[in-house]
Amino acid sequence: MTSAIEIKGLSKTFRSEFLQKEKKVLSNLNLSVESGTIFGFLGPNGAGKTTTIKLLTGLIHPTSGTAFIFGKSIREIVSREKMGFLPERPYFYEYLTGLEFLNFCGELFGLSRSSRDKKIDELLELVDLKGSEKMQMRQYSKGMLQRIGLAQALFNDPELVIMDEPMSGLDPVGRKEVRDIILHLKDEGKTVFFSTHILSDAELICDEVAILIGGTLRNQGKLEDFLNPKVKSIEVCLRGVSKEQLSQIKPMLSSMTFHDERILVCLDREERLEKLLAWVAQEKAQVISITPRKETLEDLFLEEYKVGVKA
Amino acid sequence: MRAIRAIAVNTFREAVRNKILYSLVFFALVMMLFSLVLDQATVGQRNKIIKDLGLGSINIFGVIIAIVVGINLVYKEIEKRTIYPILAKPVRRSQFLIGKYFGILLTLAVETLFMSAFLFLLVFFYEGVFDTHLPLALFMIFIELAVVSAVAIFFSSFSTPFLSGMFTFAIYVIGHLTTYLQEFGANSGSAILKALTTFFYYMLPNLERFNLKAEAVYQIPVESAKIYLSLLYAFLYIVMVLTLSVLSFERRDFK
Amino acid sequence: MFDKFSPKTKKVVLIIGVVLPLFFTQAYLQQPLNAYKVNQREDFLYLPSGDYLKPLALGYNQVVADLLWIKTVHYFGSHFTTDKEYPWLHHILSIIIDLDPQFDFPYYFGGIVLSMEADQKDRANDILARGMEAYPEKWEYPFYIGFNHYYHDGNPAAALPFIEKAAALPKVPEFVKSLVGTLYLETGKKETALQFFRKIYENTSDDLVREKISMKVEKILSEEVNHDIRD
Ligand SMILES: Nc1ncnc2c1ncn2[C@@H]1O[C@H](COP(=O)(O)OP(=O)(O)OP(=O)(O)O)[C@@H](O)[C@H]1O
Ligand SMILES: [Mg+2]
Repeated sequence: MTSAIEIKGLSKTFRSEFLQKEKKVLSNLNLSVESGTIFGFLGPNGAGKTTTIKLLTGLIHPTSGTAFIFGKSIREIVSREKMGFLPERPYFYEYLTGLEFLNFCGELFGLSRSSRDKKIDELLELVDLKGSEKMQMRQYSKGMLQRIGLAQALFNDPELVIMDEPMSGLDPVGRKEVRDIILHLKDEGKTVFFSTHILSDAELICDEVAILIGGTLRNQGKLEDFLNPKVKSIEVCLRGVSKEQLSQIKPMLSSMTFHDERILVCLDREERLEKLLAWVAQEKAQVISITPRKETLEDLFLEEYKVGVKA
Repeated sequence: MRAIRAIAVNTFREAVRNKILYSLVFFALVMMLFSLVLDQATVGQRNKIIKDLGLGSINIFGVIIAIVVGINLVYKEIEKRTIYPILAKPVRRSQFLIGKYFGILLTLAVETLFMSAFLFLLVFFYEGVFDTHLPLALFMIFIELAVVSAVAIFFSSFSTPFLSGMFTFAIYVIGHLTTYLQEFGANSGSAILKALTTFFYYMLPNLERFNLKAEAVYQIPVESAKIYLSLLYAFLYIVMVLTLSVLSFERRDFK
Repeated sequence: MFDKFSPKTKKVVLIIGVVLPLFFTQAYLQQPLNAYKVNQREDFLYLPSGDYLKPLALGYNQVVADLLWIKTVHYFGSHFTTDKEYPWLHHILSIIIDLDPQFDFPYYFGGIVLSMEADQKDRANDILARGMEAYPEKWEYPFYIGFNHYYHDGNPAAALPFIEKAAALPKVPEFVKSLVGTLYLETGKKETALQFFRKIYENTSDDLVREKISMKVEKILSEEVNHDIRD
């Protein structure tokens, strides 16, 4: 089976207009996205995520290397037939109404009037823009623009949907709705490739992620293989013990924080919890809460970032 | 094909929803009305001023609209990133550019027709008959606008609106003088000047070919072969310029 | 299908296969199109007079005048080599003058070409008279008017006031001054002529001029004597 996206040695160097100064933004990117997955493309600001996406959608040309969408080179127009694209901070013709714009998109795909109307109705429902479709898009809020952007990206029932920061600028409800749409697309067997720096969103829905830092790929893999499933640390909140008492077991704790009479201690090994609890019972203190902390994408990200910056 | 049509219609819609277009058309109409006043002030041939100024206004305001719309067409799409979703669909850049070109042609056609209708009414009101010599001149004005807007699109396919506007306007002006310049260069005795003016003569559009205003005003018959040749010339020139535009547009990275 | 080629190949193919043929064909078309000569007459008749053109020039009067000047030279050139008829020369020159009265070359051009080449003396003088308005200190314009009257019509009486005027202006060469004397003679004002020559004689330090004038005066006087004898 061919991958949805196959990136091979993609590099991009921008040349500034006046001084012809070169700026290498993407170097030798190799990446493969299996179809049917939700793929998170992570990276800090300026990592080259948008650049990669623009290369995939044919908006800019690679300096070297190439990429394939379902086996079709991005140089060929057919590579865009099964693709949908939601740009970063989408902006559309402000003088058009949402309805006119979607109709225009349908015409670009060469759809007939009746199939356009049907599809538009369906999409407006999906992105929850029913009732605002007759407004000029200059009056749309950021969230509405994001929704109409999503609608236009889905017009051709794409097998692959590429989204650049689909959740940025949205409120928690909006983000949840976008996540739901992405999950819905996956249910339909579609591939979703999206960039983001909102890690918790990625963690919630991605099957696979790649981390791009400074134009180079740092890491790529299945989310579950990626993050250490073991508990990373345990936070225990205690009441009724004094500093002096605690100092007896200090070697066991990786950190202590005091809030009035409450104390938050941190253990970095699971087996130490038993000992701590035994000690607490012995000292007649109270346990308020025990929170195990697993490794998050954020930890991984920060780690990679540190390495990336050093390199 | 559908994509080109959709882009053309959308371009037309954008132009029509733009206030600048209306103010330009309004000015042109005012100029034509002004010709009524001037006509009162002249002795001798009546209606001449009305036709002169009418054809002149339709021509010059058409050129202004062609340039203003033409130079912004592509640039605005890139600047506002409205081009992104279009090109990420199975739409070629050449289709986009050609769609834009047809859009501006449609805009200019409607605008020229509207102003021509106004001129016809004025002349009818004055002479009591429909002037049958005007349509050919008006049609050729439209052909000139078609050439000028192709040039505007060419420049805007790689340059900023300001520069494109300057270049296009310069070409419009020089395009009316190429014949004189070439003769001037040939007689100047300077080899460099001669080479330069000859280059201009063949490279730049010879817009005087489309100027039949005098023929219309003085009702001089025009050979139909000349018209066909001029149309062929315009067509070839436009296709050439648009192909060059597509070539430079294909290469571009959209920021 | 075309997409399979590399962008560079595509470009080369388009340039060689499309752009160049189009370029040469459209360039070639200029030739048959040139066969349909633009009618110069109507071309200029179409120009409204300067009074109307001025507001339309939107303040770019000089630029429009320059463009028209290029047209004028072209018009002159094309007729000079063909029919030697210049019906619209005066019209377009006066538009240029209306637009840009300080542009001095059209006055010379009009003054000389219209009278000598186009045989339109009155129109030439009209242009020159406007030159006199624009540049009252230039001796050339009144001189040419006088010259036109004298040589074109053989009318020294009409020429005299203009040559006189020219002779009184700064930087005027000596020959204009002596021409005034000659004209006095020809219009029968012998006494004035003699007085005039004497004045030049006294005012100049140029020996050559003095010699010539004394020869002239002697000639006048001897003619007078002969006259008297004959009477
Ligand atoms: N047209 C361009 N010319 C020059 N440099 C550019 C251009 N476009 C992007 N860059 C540079 O390339 C780098 C990567 O930009 P890119 O937009 O791909 O980052 P990103 O990962 O999308 O960041 P963000 O999360 O902020 O959107 C940046 O340093 C940017 O300055
Ligand atoms: Mg980005």
